[in-house]
Amino acid sequence: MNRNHQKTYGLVMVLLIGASRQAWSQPPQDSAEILSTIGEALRSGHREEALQAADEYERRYQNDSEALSRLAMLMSESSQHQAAVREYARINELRPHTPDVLYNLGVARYHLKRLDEAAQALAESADLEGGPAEIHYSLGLVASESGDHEDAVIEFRHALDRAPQRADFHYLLGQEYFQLSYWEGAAAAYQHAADLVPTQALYFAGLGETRLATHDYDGATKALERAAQLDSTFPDIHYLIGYGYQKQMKFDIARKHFEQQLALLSDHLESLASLGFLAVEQDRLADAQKYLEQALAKAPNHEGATFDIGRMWLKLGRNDRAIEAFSRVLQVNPDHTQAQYQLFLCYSRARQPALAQAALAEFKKLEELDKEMSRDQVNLERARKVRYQESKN
Amino acid sequence: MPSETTPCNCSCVLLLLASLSSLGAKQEAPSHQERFASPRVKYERAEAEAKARLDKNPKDVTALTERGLARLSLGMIKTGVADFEQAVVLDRSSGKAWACLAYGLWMAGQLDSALAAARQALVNDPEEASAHWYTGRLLLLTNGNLQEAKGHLEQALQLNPEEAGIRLDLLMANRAAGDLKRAWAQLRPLRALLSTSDSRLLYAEGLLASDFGRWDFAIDRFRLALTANPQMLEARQGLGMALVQTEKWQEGIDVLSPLSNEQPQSFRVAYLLAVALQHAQRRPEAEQEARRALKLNPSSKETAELLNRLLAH
Repeated sequence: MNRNHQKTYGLVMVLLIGASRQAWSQPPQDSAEILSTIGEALRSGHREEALQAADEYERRYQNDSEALSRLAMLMSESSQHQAAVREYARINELRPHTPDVLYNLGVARYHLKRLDEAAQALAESADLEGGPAEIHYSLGLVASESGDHEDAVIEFRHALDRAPQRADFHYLLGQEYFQLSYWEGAAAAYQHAADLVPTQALYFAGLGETRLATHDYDGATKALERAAQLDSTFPDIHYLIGYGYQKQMKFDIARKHFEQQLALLSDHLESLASLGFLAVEQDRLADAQKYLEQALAKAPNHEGATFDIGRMWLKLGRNDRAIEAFSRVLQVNPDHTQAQYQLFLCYSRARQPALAQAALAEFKKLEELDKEMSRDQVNLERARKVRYQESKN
Repeated sequence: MPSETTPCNCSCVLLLLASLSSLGAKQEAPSHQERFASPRVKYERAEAEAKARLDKNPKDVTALTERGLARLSLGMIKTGVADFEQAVVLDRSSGKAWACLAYGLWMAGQLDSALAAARQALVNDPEEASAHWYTGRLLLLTNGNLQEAKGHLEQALQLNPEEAGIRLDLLMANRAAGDLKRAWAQLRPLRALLSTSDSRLLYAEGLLASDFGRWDFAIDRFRLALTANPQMLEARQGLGMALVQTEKWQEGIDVLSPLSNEQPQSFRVAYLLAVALQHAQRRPEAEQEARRALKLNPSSKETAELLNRLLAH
């Protein structure tokens, strides 16, 4: 999962509101007065009053697209998206097939999450006027939110053809590639974004997460540490760095980062579980118990924490508790090969040969299944690489 | 149960369309409006384009299959199947045309004929991924040989590893064969391929959680599946069963009662509803449902026992 999505979403909304593409002449005196009244009513929270005045305005200027555009823009800026859609739809009737109108209609529909209709308006705008990057960018956002990541990639690439210096477009393209598990494309896009704006933690974090996904832990920690330098409070950043170091077996550095994450957020679940894991690895069993019990208090079915607390009990010679923990792991995740193996060890130590044999037999089956699934994963990755190359062409 | 399959067939047609589009005449890149049109508009356009090609060349097999697929998607099953039948008459050695015919016959409810067509597609082209998929799925639907079904689905997956629909069917096949851990293992790639809110994934998670007796988790997954797709019958049925298993009688009744009206031929729904009604102390209604369940499945011992218990009071 891409942890940066939420942060990007905020960025997107701001950009959309600021992206309106319309220029008008000065409004006539009477229309300006009504608009001012509506704006004032909206600012002071008198929504009903504002909408009544808007109805009156709409009736008076029902055939004046420019006047209606002013009202529509006011409504958009005041987050009255329902009213904005109505106005833009009316303007679209008055001036059909006009790129600006269709664009604004699409954006207003996007705000109402009427994604299919938003896409249709924006698509018509894009076909009529292929030029501005904003249209493709908006269409990319709509496609992305509709789960249509392949079309989103196409649109963000169109946007970048027109505005190659826009780091945010590169970043969004990276996110779409990430969603599609096209790692090569995601890394390249995030890298472009980071090269263009080297002060934005978000871009380095995206790059770091992509490196984690491809098991390039050294590259991941470098990118993530850069992100942390730029914004030490970036969500999950120290946890991610810690995870990267843990995978490189640099446990002491990993521990430091997990602790830093907890200093920022004292009940950060994955950091608690990871500190528990490290403590088990380093035979600090009292620490392990403290962290793992905290993690399990927050998430009783946490697979990793349950598994590690099982390992901890095993090290403490408490076979019964270990068996209980590994059995629980297998209940949560029945194809957990290592839990099955640990269960075999526990039963062997407890001198329960029948149960040990049964656990071993299950372990062997799961081991075979793991091999099959690994081959399947390789096949899947190969197919994705082919698709990524096709999408580039 | 062999008859339980994953609920959505829409990706089957997408797989076929994707493979056919590479065979069709070289086309210009679609406009934005074409790409972002509603599915119905896209299928109507595909039908019209294929028809135009057939007007020029009535023996264009690719155009026939494309028009047939578009028609199926538009709900025109008979004419779609007719296109595929004509396609296989024109090219009896084509794997794709026979695979399309299999799909059309399946949609028409002619499962045995569909299976025969899928097998013929594989005789013509053993590498035809969709034909492997349909053969596997149709074997599941017709209570055919489970091992053979699994073999075809695995082959389909080998050829097309990105298709989540094949994985969901393979999960069901493994489940039907009693290999629950292998079924569970498919959840790993499925979670990477599908969005977390995909109703098919949530349903599969719920179903497997039920199999492993994790009823609370199952209830959670079925509810989420229904949030994503409120009409999903299979998820409603799974939820009803999980609620009865956890003795949430009234909630179970709330789910199963409307389902019983919509699926009057479902023995399982009738039986579960009878059990829930009995425990909710609604004996006359429970008796009525139990009688109905017994009528649907006269050999069910558990229903007979339930009815006896109800009558004894």
